[in-house]
Amino acid sequence: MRTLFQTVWDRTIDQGHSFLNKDQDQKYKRAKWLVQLFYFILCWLSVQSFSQFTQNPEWHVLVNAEAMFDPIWPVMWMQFLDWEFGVRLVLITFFLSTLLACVCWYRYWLVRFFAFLGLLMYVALVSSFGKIDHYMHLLLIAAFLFVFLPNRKKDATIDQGGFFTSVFWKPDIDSSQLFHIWIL
Amino acid sequence: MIPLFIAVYFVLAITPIITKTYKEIFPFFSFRLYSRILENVKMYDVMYTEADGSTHYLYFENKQIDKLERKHLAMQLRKLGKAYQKGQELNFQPLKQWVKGHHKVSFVKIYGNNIEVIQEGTYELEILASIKP
Repeated sequence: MRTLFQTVWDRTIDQGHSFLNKDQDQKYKRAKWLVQLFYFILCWLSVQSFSQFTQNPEWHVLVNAEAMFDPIWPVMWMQFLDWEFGVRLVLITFFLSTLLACVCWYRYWLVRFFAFLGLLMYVALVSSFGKIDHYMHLLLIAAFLFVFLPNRKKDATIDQGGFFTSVFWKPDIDSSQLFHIWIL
Repeated sequence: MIPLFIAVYFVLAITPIITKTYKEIFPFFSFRLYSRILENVKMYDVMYTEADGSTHYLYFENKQIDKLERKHLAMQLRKLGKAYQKGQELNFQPLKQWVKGHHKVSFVKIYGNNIEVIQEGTYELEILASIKP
């Protein structure tokens, strides 16, 4: 909070160094942990989508809702498949992609892209009945931005950590202008 | 990357307002979500009048319908409401399954102050058309 406040109202340079650059290693570890947590939450949501869920429709409701299906663009293709097969395909893709992301999101951008695609399909499916709900949009945006995280390399250094955390914010910030904080 | 993303987001959110289509581009928030606060509510609904004179609605305060049915019915009623406003012919065919088994069914408009309608259940009612006399 202090960092945010000082960045907005004051300069981040203190005695020739930006205080945002301090403890880069620790910030890098924390950012990695947060992304891991993010993919775990996605995976948990995908498991919930098979059962009773407070926000999204239950499985049996989805399977019996073909007559009400009014597809938006990411799930247009479902019109050409058997309804139940299409629903199963979306839910299983969502589950497998997020499970895979939980295990190896850090190694391959393709895994993170797959998780984004799984989530996109699921949110599009539950939004294809006449009204688009917005409570999962932020998850979707975050999943999209995480596709651009750098993959782990064998000779990873703190520089890579700096690039990693730049997805959350720009570490070499030296201006007091609000829009220079690139917080997700 | 992120400033570009925000710029694209803003353009996509505001485009339906400029083009007056008012349709949301998935998965981007509609600008209208932030740009208006409704004081008065106006919704179209189907009112059932049973043989004993009691009334209830298809959408409003109906806890028997599930989430997807609620979304679907909201869209159908919105379409009918727009057709009514434009003076077009009202097609009740998509609501056929919701009409069966009821004594008398009407297409109505419910309106009033947002808080009074939602919290206190007091509203004005206007019968627009008869679906099942």
